[in-house]
Amino acid sequence: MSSETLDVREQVSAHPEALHGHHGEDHGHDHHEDEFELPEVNFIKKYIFSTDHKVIAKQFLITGILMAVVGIVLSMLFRIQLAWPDHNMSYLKPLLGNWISETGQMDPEFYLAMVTMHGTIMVFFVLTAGLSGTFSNFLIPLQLGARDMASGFINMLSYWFFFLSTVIMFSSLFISTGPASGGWVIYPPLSALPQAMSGSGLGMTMWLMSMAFFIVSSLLGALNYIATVLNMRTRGMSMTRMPLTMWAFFLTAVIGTLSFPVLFSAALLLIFDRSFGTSFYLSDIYIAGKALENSGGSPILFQHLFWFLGHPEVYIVLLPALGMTSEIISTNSRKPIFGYRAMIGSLLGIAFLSFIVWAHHMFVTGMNPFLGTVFMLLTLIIAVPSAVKTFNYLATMWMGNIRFTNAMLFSIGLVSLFITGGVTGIFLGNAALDIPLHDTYFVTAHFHLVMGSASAFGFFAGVYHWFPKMFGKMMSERLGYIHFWMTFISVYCVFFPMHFMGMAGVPRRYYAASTFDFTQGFSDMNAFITIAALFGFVGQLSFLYNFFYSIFKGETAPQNPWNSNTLEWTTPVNPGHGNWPGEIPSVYRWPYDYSKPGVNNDYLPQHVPDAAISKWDANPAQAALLYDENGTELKDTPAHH
Amino acid sequence: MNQHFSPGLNMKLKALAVSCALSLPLLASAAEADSGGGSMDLLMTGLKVLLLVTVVLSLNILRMVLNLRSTDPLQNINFNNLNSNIMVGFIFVGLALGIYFSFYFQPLYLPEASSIHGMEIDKMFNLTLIVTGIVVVITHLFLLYFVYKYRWSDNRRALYYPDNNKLEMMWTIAPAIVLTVLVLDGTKNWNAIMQPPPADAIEIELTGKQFAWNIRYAGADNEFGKTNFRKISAENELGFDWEDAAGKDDVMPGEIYMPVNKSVLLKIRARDVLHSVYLPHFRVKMDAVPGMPTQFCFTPIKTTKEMRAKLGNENFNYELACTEVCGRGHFSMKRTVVVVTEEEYNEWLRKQKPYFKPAETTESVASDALATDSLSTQPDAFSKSDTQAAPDEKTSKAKKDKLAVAGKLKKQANSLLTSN
Repeated sequence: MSSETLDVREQVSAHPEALHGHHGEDHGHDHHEDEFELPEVNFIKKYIFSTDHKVIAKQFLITGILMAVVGIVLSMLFRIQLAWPDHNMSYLKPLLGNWISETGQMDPEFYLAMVTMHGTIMVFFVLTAGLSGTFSNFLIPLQLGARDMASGFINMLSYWFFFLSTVIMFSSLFISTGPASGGWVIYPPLSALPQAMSGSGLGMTMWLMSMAFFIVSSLLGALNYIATVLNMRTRGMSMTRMPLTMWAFFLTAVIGTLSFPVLFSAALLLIFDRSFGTSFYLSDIYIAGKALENSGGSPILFQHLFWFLGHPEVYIVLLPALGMTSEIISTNSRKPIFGYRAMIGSLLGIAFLSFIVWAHHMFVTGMNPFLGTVFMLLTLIIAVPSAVKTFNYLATMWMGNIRFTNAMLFSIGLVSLFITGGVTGIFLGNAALDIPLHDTYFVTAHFHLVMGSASAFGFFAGVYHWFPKMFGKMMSERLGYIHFWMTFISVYCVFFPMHFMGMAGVPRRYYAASTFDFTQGFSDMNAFITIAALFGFVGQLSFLYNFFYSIFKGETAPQNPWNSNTLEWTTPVNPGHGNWPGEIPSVYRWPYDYSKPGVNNDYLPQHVPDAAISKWDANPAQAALLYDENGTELKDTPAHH
Repeated sequence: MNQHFSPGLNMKLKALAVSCALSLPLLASAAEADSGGGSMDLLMTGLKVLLLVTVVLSLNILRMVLNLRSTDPLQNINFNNLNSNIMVGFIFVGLALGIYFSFYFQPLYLPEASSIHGMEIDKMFNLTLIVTGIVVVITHLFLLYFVYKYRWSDNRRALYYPDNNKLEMMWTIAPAIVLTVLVLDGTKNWNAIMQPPPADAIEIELTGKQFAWNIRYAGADNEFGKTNFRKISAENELGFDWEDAAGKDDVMPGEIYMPVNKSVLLKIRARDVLHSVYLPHFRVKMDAVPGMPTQFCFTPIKTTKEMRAKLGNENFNYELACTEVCGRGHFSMKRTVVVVTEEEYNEWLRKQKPYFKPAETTESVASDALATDSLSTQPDAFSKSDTQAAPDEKTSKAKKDKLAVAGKLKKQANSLLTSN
């Protein structure tokens, strides 16, 4: 923590009234504000069936965190199996029941079930809903200068559909035939035929139900985000003055809107095949001593449909993290983001290209080799905008004045992971190289670094950075340091060695490596990886503790703890429903005027017009929010709309 | 200093000590009471509660130690510089260890490819590895330098430098050029690998099922017999249509034999769910899809014997694995692949007995279907039971050779693309 921010914080906590000084006496406190905004509000309306985007964001966040705990615990369990396949796991019997055999061995189908559920939960429930759902909801109205989302009601529905889907997915862990087990990609026929594995029975049905609700939630949310970004920006907030977070969330929503319906149709056809005897994906199957009637379907069709969502999904997960990182790196380097327009351009490029690279997951499925050539070309093109983003992050830090806040540390971590995990995409996107590497640990290493960990780092960066705005409290920076270093070390120790296993050809989703000669020799490495993963898991406890403790007992946050330029920091410490107690501030500049020459402070918020710079510069903490273009302070009025 | 936090902290430290002290004997007794039933459950519950309490207390103490503002024991530490230094060390040590271990683990990597296209793939892998390795190292060195050099100082102000079109153009074009080179290389190799197979390729059919591979050679007439999945049964693994004479001499051995330096065309099918043929040493992989035959053509260039000598490992074997998750036995779908000289191959093939069992086609045999369909960690164990059943060698060598010529001509017409 730099001395400067500390000073601001102390100053503000010593004079809390300073924050609200300019609002006048009549609406300086937020509970008063809530009464004004929603006089009939009660506990249920305020915290449960709330239409306030900030409350909904917190609901997404906390649900996401709880699901992350489930997902991570699952990964710890299968990591234990991989590290010590022969040891007696009877001590897990109280938790896993019959999935642990009498002799203390883990059931191979349950191993697959955990792998599947880990993937599903982390990709959809944590990194899609928990990340994009949380921060899109929270930041879009605040950073654009809007009172709320375009439709608060649809926003609320979006959360409750997500909640429903969470409950179904979580419950499926406890049924006797086990949850879906065919991998998170649920390729039929394995996922279509209960005869093929027990997880393809009720567990798969629940998976599909849950995902159907999830897609509804995701679409409701995404349409809302798009409508809000396009229509509800405050005066002066042109598209090219939006923070890069907004661009990232906006494009994420566009990608989600266009791709999730395709997953829905894929799931729907799978439901038909499973339940109504159709043959969209099934043909020529003899299983469990019986030839099936199905004829003429194609399992490859499912893969095309699935990856038409599945690949954009990678960017749905990653773009919000990249957007928040842009904001955080710029703020904490005290420097404008380098190449703002190039950053938007590369976001647009990534968003567009993300739709036409899906078949690089299918090079060796037997699809026409010509398609392989096309998709190889398109896939490697996507590395260009990604490289531009990386270089621009580095250039932003060059000649900066860097504060290593928790959020900044996680953002730097993201950049490092994005590079290390990204370059292996060049191997896998190359159809010829993909032949030996496909479905090996090389792939596991690649996407866990570039998509899983990088996005998780973006998530943590976002939480540390916007926690003060969310809860009006500060998190403990020092626990955050411990969290960051344990996580960063653990992530590299877990996923980097997996490249070596991939280069030895060890396939993914193997319950044990004992069968093949070429997979031997990694038992020490597997044990090391598991120990590193457990170490990282312990590190997450410090986050959980810090998060929940700080909500209730954290230090009170100042209004603008990071001396940031964006509009969310002009709201009161605990903004009520409607965000700004008075008029919404107008915007006069882009959000990255850090260390601007001629300005004394090393930041210059978006709502300060050129004519008012000197007035604002003299005392930023107490400066007014509302100016006209001539720099005249406007009188705050209590009316809201 | 102590005075400030002693009441809360001391109490918590004591509680931590007590809970640790309690949990140790509990752990010990839990380990002993392995079959204890009810008391075991109670112990486990107690253990879990204590574990939770311990964790929460530890974190609480950690926070109190770290966060005492007024009497901060760590107040003289400049955390900004500390983090910067750790980051510098992390990147430096990380790069060093990463490079070191990449070489250290070399003995575990797959040996040099044993096929022609595999050699090309290996070359391309190494090229890509060098290019990306340089990128990773350079960008991380920049990161390291910036993190160290530009950490916060009260006396410095960041440079207002929002744009430089030339620079951005440069680092857009540079990766584009590098990637173009890699794409061209990749396209060349991919097209070479995926071109239609030569007419004289040796055909081997691999059929994936839960959880084993069926291997089929066309036999003396060099033509595969017709199959139909509706005819599959325990004694007719592939659903042969016995009306078709071409199938009567097809052989289904338990191991894959290939001649060295000859094109081998794998015809790949699946019986139930998706599987994937994976021959790591040959850099071969292709999914097995029910209802859609696929194929992969390659040329092995080292016999098993040569590989054994080269690796100095008498027990080395080429292996066939499954890389598309297919159920509980996914990890165990193993077949051994043997590459021999052409003469040895012909000799081996001659010795194989056809799968056709004339006396038993209508009778149902005591089936080993259950055995083959359930999980076995030793696929070789049942690979012998479901093959080489009928000792019915009728075809003479001369007839076989004649048929082989006819079969080759027919095959040219049959050679189908992998596309659907």
